[in-house]
Amino acid sequence: MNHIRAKREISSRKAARQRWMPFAISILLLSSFWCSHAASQHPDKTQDTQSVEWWSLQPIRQVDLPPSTEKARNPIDYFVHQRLRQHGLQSSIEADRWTLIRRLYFDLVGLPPSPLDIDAFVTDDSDRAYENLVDRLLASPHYGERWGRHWLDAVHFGESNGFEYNQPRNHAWHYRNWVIDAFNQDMAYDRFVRLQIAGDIIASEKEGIVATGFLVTGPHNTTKPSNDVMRLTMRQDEMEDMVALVGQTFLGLTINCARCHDHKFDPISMKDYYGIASALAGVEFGDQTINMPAPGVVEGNASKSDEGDSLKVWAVTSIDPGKTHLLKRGNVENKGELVSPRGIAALRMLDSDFGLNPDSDGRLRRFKLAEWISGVDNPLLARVMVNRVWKHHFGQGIVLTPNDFGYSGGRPSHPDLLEWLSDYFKKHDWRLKQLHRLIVTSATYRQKSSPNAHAAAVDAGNRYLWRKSPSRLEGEILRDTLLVLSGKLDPKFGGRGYRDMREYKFKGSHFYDVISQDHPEQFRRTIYRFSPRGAMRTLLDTFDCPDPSAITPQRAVTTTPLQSLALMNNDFVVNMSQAFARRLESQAGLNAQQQVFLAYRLAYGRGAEEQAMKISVPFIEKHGLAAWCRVIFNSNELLYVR
Amino acid sequence: MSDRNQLSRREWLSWATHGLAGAALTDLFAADRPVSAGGGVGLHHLPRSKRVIHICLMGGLSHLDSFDFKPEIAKFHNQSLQYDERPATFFNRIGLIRKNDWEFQQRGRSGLWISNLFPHIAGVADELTVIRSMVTDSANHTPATFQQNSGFQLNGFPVMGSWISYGLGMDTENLPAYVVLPDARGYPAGGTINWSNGFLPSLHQGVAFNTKGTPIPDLFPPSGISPETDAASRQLLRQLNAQDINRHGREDAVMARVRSHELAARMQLTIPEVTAIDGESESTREMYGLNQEPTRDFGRNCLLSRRLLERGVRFIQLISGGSFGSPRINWDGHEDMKKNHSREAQRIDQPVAALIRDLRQRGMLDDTLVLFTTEFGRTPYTQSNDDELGAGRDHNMYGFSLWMAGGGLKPGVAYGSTDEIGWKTAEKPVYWHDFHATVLHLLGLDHEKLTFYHNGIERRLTNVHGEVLREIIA
Repeated sequence: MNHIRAKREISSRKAARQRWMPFAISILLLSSFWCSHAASQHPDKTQDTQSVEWWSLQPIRQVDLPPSTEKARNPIDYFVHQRLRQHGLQSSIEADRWTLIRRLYFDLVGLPPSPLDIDAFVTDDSDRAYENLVDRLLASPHYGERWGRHWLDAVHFGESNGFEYNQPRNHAWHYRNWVIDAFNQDMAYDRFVRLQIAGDIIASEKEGIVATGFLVTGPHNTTKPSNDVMRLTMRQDEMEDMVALVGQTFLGLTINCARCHDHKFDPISMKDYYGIASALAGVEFGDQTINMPAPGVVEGNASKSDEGDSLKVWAVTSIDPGKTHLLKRGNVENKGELVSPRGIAALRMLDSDFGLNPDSDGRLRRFKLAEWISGVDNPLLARVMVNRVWKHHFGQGIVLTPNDFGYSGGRPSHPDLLEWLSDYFKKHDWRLKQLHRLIVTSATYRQKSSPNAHAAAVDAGNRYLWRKSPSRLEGEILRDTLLVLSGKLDPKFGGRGYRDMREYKFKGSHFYDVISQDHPEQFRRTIYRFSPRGAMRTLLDTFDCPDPSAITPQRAVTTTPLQSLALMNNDFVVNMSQAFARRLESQAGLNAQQQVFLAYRLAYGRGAEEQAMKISVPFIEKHGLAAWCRVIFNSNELLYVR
Repeated sequence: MSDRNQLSRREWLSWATHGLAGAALTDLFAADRPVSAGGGVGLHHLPRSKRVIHICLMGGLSHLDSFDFKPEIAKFHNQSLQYDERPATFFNRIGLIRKNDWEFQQRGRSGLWISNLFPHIAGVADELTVIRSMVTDSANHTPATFQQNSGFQLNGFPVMGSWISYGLGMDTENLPAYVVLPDARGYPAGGTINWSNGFLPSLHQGVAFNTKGTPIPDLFPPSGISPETDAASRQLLRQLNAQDINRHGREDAVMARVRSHELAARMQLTIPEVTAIDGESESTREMYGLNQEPTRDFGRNCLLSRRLLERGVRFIQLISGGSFGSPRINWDGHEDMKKNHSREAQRIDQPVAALIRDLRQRGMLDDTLVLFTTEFGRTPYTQSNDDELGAGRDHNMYGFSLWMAGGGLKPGVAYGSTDEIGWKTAEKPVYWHDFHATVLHLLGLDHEKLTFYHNGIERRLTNVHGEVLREIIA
């Protein structure tokens, strides 16, 4: 029999192919292509690869403020205007108040302003009218619902295991609500980070455990083969996803690229990778049971489970972490040296030595990791988060790659501004709301969004911010907006999510089939949607809501015929257009002109002009108000925020 | 250091807010561009094929009983497997070696060995390029299926259809670039995860056609909206959008939306027309097996595939088999191979052969790729106690078979081999990355150049692997 020999031949021939590192990338093998490619794409990158001198690994620089300018409202503008001048560009004039309030509402709370809000703002003659509006919106609980969603994208929050069985995670929603609450409470960002890595160790039982839901958001394969190598490899794949999540989310470093070899571009070694993996090795996926103090004190949004006074949450379960070996070429059958839990050595201002042995306690390892990442001297902690916040306000980050501040990532368009904002963020106790306040009160943010051929010829991508780029509503915000306009939104805050699917088990696998949304309990903000993997929804998917298995710090924005079909024909949209029509009839009466006028105020935040009346009124008379509302829902003026 | 360099083309294409998809659509909507340039990243070399139909057998087809003839296995029948390292299978039960349950014959002029499991496919043997030396990394269904389709074992990576949609763009504006035709008995395990665009823009997501009712969701308004009202609504929408452009100026993204409504209207015309297979001749319906029970469902999907290909769809995934568990509705013959594979093969054999013949007779096989794959093979030993000869076979990741047909391939040949009992690949091992590289190559795409930046890595369908199988290319 030659079966064994056959296997060995394959092994030797394919040794370099590394069958056991499917998720990782083995860049060594295509060095010629890769290097020439990278070099040609980054002519400005004069620094060496794998250098600890790389800009993002240095302490935050103290920068001098550029001179003030005529149109400036705060220091952000000094930096931006300086850059514009260098490129022969000018900032745009300030947008009108109708535009500004709509922009602020969608950006900060993800909902359209009501006509009363608009009237109050445009007639407010106080010097602080704008600032007061910003403060009011930042204090709204809807702020957390808006900004929490950005965070959930970045951490690939999904409410099922994925893979073959794809079981639902019926208790994962606690983490989602915790994120919303943390944003609303303006939790200091460094604490927000620590809790998500080691909350079960450092905080009160309930909050701490719930926060660790972060580490276990990703896919998890429960179909375990009886073969050891296969099981160990599955675990290593899961660890890589977890290391990717931690490294990219908090540090903007792709540590996961160092599983099978040292990072090709950044100064991250395999030892660094396995050091972080060792720190996380005690993490297992599952439901945790929290004992609640006494009946009656259970918070409204943490409904009691079936077991009475205990609460189930999807969170970290601590297991024996064992000893972590460096795995040569990522192969579980090829163990190298023992590795202690530790941080990334290239962040030289931090002590990467956790002072722990390879066999130390798993919880202690996570605690040390949390301390190391959230260390006050860690420059990436502030830079990466500041850049995320900036990205969501302006549509693109100062660094275009929110999860990659390494060599393969983008270079900052305004390096000094990023440093200055990072320093500001730290000095203001890591408070996000203060950062938002500074950004949205800048003249840069308050600019008009009108196109300008001259500026576009120099800077079509608006990297230098010669205007405020218009943005299209995200899928969730679009759905929320239709609920608001139709008067159907259930503003219930927190709690268990709603379902727009029928879940059932068929031959061992769980499926999530589309059902219609016609129950009031489904009319909640979309962030509360139960979101299992493998449950596509046309209205959300075509509007670029991400696959919950993909870490998505930045969504693509696409425009397709299927998107058009979804917004025209989806039964939810049509139902909402009927509800919007009924609302208009009840509030504006049966006069079509009055109906159009009110609808414009609600949907577009402005009065309807003569021209609009001229085409709308005959349409309503012939085809009905609901049909007209459906057109409004599809119109660009509703979909784009200027 | 010049700041202008920050706006490198790559950043433009894959990082900007409006992303590559935005750029692609801007190209698409430029009036003077030919439609066939629709949105792809562009060809790297001359293509041999323009479109793909991927027949995907869920559960694990037994190569030993279909395309990998092992005359020597009879000698080992009813004997124990010799090994020094226990093989990795799913259930870890290593029974006695079992010879093939279907007899093999040499077929056609080429003399390819194909078993009686697929008598109809055997009839088109001279069109097939069989690979008998596939190797994969997992003997677990879903990771192995993901790897077959996306090159990775985890959720969240774009599948081959999405990559090809991204690479080649649309050949028609009237249909989605990537269509999935699921088994009429149900979705595969994991549901829509199996046709995810992963981190690619959502326009590259597979669009699953329903087997009953409206082919795709939201194609038409719900009842209560008349065609007249719908048409007038589109007209009004155009006018309102024109007023909006007057107020706010022309933006590429806004113009693309205006255009997308026109394309949507065309889709509404095309999809009902393409799915109306009733208009096909009686002889065609007969050929695809639409008139009898076991072949009706798959025959309909095969015929629909040909119609979709004719109208410009780039990539069709035709799925044979639903989720796992008992009673089985896929190829996962753990318990009783004869029963399981007979039932599954009868559903697809005649329709698949008809599809090949039909494509050939219409001249389409010259520039269409047909792929016939499964996530792994089955073990030469039965899934039973050590001293027992069982009726079922477990998962075998060490060696298995698939075939391809169509433009650019050498027909009627077999590539690679397994050992004498069909357990492990012996010569010319082929990994999914090699297979994917070859498919992309035939389509005019270089698998090392078809990349998309995602969180620090220029991702590829082939990860960092993949060698084009030059030996099978004509």
